[in-house]
Amino acid sequence: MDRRAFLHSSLASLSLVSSPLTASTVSNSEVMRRPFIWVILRGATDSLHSLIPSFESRLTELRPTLHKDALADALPLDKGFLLHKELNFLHTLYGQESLLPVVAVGSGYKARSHFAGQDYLESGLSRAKIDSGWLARAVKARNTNALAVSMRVPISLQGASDKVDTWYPTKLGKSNDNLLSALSTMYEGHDELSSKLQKGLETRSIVRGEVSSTKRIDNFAAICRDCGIFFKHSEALQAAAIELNGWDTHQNQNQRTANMNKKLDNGLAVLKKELGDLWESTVVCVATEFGRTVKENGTQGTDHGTGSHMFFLGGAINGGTIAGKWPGLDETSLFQKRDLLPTSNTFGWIATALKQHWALSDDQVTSIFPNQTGTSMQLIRRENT
Amino acid sequence: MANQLAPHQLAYRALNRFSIGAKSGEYASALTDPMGWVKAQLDEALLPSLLAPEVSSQQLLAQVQLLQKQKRAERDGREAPIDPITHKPYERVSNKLPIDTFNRFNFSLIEAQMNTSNGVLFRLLDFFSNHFSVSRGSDVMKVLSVTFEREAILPHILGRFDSLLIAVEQHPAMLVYLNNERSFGPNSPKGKKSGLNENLAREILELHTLGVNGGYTQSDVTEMAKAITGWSIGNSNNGEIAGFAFRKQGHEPGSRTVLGKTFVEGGQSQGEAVLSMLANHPSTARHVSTKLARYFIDDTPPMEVVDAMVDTWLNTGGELTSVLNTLIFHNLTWQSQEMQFKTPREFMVSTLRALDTSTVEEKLTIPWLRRFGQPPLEANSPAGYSDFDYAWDSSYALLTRVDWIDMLTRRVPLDIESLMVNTGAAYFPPQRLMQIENAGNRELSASLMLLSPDFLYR
Repeated sequence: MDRRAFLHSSLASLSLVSSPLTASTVSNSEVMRRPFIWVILRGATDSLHSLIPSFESRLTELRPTLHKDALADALPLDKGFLLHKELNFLHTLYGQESLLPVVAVGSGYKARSHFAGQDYLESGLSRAKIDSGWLARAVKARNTNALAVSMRVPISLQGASDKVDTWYPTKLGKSNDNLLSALSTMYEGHDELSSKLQKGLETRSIVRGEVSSTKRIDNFAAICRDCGIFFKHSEALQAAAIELNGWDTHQNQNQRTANMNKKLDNGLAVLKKELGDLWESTVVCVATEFGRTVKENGTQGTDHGTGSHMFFLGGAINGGTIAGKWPGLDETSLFQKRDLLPTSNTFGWIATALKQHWALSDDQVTSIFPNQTGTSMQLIRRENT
Repeated sequence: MANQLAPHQLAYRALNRFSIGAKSGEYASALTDPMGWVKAQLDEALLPSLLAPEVSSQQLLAQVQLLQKQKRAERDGREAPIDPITHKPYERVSNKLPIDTFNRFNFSLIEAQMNTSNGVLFRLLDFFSNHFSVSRGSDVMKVLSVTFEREAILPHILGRFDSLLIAVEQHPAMLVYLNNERSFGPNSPKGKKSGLNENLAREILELHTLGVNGGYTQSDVTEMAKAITGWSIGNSNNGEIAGFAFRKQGHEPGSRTVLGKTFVEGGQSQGEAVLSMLANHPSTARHVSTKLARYFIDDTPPMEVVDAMVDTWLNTGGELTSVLNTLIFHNLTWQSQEMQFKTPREFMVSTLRALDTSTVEEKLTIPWLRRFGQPPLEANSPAGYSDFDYAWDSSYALLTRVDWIDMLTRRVPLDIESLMVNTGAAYFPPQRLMQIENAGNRELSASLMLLSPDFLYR
């Protein structure tokens, strides 16, 4: 039996198992596809070094080695804010009104542990639960499917296992069909394994058809590329989660921030390219677990802080302006005299974006974020809703 | 309460939850007395010979420091560093020394795990290496990270937690990984040039001891950071020993207050006193006991078992062997019905042991662990790799394991009879066993055993 024949026969024999990537539900064919892509920046991104308030003169003194670097060749936005010099693609989007930076946001988590902070950001509940993520709850409300482009299902997508698939770009394997076929027999009666085997094979066959180049590209760029490929191929897919690690810059921050921003910017540009026309109806949301100290530490870096920034981008975004309220950096304006004060809640912005993008009811929004009503600002282009 | 699991299920748990999978002969021993089989290995006398001797972190760090100096001299067009004894330039250290050392140590650990008859100790070593996770990165971290578990962890895994904790926090690998080597007190002589970095202090409280909800505040983090200012590493290029060095000139003067307790100035011993207090704190006992129970039982270990471990911890001053005995001999430990998807490491090592091969091509091991998402010393997070089932169980994970088994079974010798014993195949459901026995060839038969639901989970 060749691979194609095996795939077909196993599809037939496992007709009860429908993969998120191939299933099409009634509602999906009637509703326009509006991708929502969630990008988690793990490690706590330093807002003051990426979305730079050039008017804060205190920073020269508080950050003797970092602030000069942040200002160098930075790209102007509005209200005195600049984008880090490596965020060229984002800067272009801003000019096209497809980037909305939000300043001084926080999830509500205030204790400065990466891991608890990330769980909180992904769970979206007042007490983080690792088996219930806000994106999974949104996917259920929209009755659509999601993909995690990571080796495992992140907490954001936990709690909707029948609607979520995983994929990670690696060298494609090629197990022999005899073994695959024998395994699909052996896993009969073991729902979890049989559905995983089936989903895995389908996902792999999609990428196998698309990616021929063996050229080495940056890992995050490959993640973004494959994410775009799946949206092109799967009508049933409307949500995805991807992540970029490495923002914990306790030392050597100048160089590391440049590297990380470059990776992020490049990856998002690849994502736009792969999405093609679908970009016009797409929302990408980028956020991190918390920010970093306003004051530079003793080793040319910064320690764990509180407030940070987030980005919304995509053809569906009503951007080209700075959102959020800037609290200032006077000592009395700081959170606990050390961190940027969050003046609005990360989940409030996400709730608003989801509500407008996916036309969700107030009850549905409450089922996703029990404590958020959202803002009145129009985040999504009107012609797109 | 009556024990509802059959003897072969208890043996499988002893072998795959408390140890790293069965090699030939072990299934039978574990079947007779699962608890006794585990306990017999908790013997400090076994520790020194667990891993073959290797070059020390001190020698490796000195070589990398010299390499860095040689590279700087080449870059700036200066004269190569001179050996003060021979008055000639030192031999050029190979650029590949760090990565070659990193790879050699990692593969030798896999080989040791394949061949050991003390799997319980390796599993315990894995637990603490991940609890005190460090990652490769720079050349310095490549050589330090691999020596860390041998030098700082292994000697203490059956001793008191405070000795383990102090050894870990003073090892150059941890000091460099979490940036403490240049963290100096703002009021110390060195503090004018380089100041405080609270990275290590925070992770000590959050990850290594109390746990994130263990009851500390931002002020405790800052005070902890000040208590360990000056804990640094020596530079052999300046005639120092390339190991832990206390830099008095960088230590923040004065007494410190952590968790409401005051620690008087005492140089290096100030930080050690704080660590000893933390090691015996009830929050630490609970945090580490919970993680141990989760690791050895399942994602949701019975609270009674954790409570008993905490009692033992507090009554014995953190004697790890006693805490582990409380875990092993607790009735509820052996009644867990929940099966966990093996982590990539658990799956790889238990597979290689079941195949009973004494060696394997390196390229079939570490590169595949990377594809599985769990390469050694690359967690890139001080929290280490997740112990939870959800972190590893995905369609991607399953398919990658299928690819690996497919390749492996065609490249190693296959003894089907002993594989059946080691995987416990004799106890598989009859239909599954029949499919395995009737498979057209030995590769397929072996692959099915290793990818059976019975062996993918533990």
